[in-house]
Amino acid sequence: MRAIGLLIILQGFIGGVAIRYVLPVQLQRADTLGAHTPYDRSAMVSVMGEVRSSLAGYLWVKTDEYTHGGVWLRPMTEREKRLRTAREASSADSFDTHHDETSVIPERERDPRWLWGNIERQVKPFFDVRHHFHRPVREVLPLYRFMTWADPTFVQGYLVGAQMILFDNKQNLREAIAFLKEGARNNPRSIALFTELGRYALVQLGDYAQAESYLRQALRNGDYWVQRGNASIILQNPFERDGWRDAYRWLAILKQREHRIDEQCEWARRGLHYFPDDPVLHQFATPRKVK
Amino acid sequence: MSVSLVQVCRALAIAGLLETIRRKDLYVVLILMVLMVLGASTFRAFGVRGLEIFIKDVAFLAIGVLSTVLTVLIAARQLPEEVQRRTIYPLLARPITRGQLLIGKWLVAFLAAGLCFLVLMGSAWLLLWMLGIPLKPIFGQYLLLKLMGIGWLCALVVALSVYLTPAANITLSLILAFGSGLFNRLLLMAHWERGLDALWLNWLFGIMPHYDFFDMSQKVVYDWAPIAWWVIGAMGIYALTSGSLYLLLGWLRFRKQVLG
Repeated sequence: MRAIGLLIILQGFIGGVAIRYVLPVQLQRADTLGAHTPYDRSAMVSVMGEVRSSLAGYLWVKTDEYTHGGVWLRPMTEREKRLRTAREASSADSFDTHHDETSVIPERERDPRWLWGNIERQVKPFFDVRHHFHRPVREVLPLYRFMTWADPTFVQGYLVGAQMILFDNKQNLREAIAFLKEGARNNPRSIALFTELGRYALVQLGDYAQAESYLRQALRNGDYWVQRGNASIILQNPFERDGWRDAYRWLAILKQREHRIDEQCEWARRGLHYFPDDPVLHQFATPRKVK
Repeated sequence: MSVSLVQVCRALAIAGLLETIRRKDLYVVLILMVLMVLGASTFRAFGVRGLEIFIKDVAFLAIGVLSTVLTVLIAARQLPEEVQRRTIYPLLARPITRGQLLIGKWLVAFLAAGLCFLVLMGSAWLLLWMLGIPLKPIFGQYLLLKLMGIGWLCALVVALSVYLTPAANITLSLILAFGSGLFNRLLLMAHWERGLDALWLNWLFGIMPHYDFFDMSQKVVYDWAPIAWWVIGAMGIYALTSGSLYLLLGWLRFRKQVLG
């Protein structure tokens, strides 16, 4: 026991020295996906980088649990999807985020454990996942603030956080955009963040010029990664991949609204170069089909 | 001259608690408390508005993990150390049966681990209160259920210490304690996906450890209403019967074991 105590003190001392040594480097702004660059300068910095990404990742996972009051959901298995034996989660409010999900703890009708099942449903958070309500989004918002504070390169934290700010109250558009802009400042090479800023400018503000500026920046960032030979890494990241594809889509939509059909087709065709199977881009590339 | 079980337990409990203080086990708890206070101070610096659930979640998670590890470490050393230091011989030279010694050791482990848990939980409650984060009445049921769980875990670890080396015992006990929820999930998935018969499932479920059922921390964190008291009663019966069975299995081996 004494040895454990000494070990904790020693670890605290090493941790303190590590934080002192690492902090100046950690405060540097990192490019999205290039965030490894400052971490790689020394092994110690790399370790601290892992810690803060892990914290952000932990908080990211927690947000879903928080909105459900601690009730755990899981994806349905292929068998459950096919036979529809498990209750499918669905929202009773406008917070629709469930697709083929069910609760980890089974409902009474499906539980073969008799008494054990009844006990588990009492000691662990449990409710009928059909048409369930969510806790107020306001309770989750600090988590997005905290995870992006812990890891400023955590792009999805900014993306979903901004959506949640707006979902909480439609009047919070300015705060949502400010949150996205902070993300863009911290991740100047992110595609998804600039696409999202462009979407907000187009859909929420109706500012076509600003929207085009943001969307073009998103595509320039895409080109930057292609030129550096990292396009495959971008395509593996679902947020950046969707952001890249959506930048082409939104630019085509923008040009359609401006009645510049040639430019609409041009952007759609450019998008098809990277996303040849995208049905939306196919539609915009052939203007006669778009209504 | 025979000595009653109560006398043996009382004497061993006092000696065990003195040993706990002498060995400075509580120092570990105090160090952990200091770390918790430092962590809470960080939150005070940044402000806790809106982060109440997160802070409660982290506090209860930390206490759940630390109390389980401390319980296993305390219970696992009770008998092996007596054998290693050869102090078990003067103990057994007195009019004490091996069964009484085993129960006494379980009681010592339960009291020491329970005390550590209560000290940790008390300090966490105080810190949460200072941060303006109240706990709902379900917290009382959580404490009760967790203490039952600590008693159950002590019985398992003390029994295993008769069969295994201390290192193997600690490893296996921690796997059983932290993995119990996962084992239960796997059994359920085997039933749904592979057609495991409900009778087999319940039989296996009865054998498998259910340490996770003693943990209501998630309900406390999210401010759920208190649960039905029959559940606490059922878990009490489970802890008593299952813990007694573990100690019985431990005694069956220990009574004929050649010591030293």
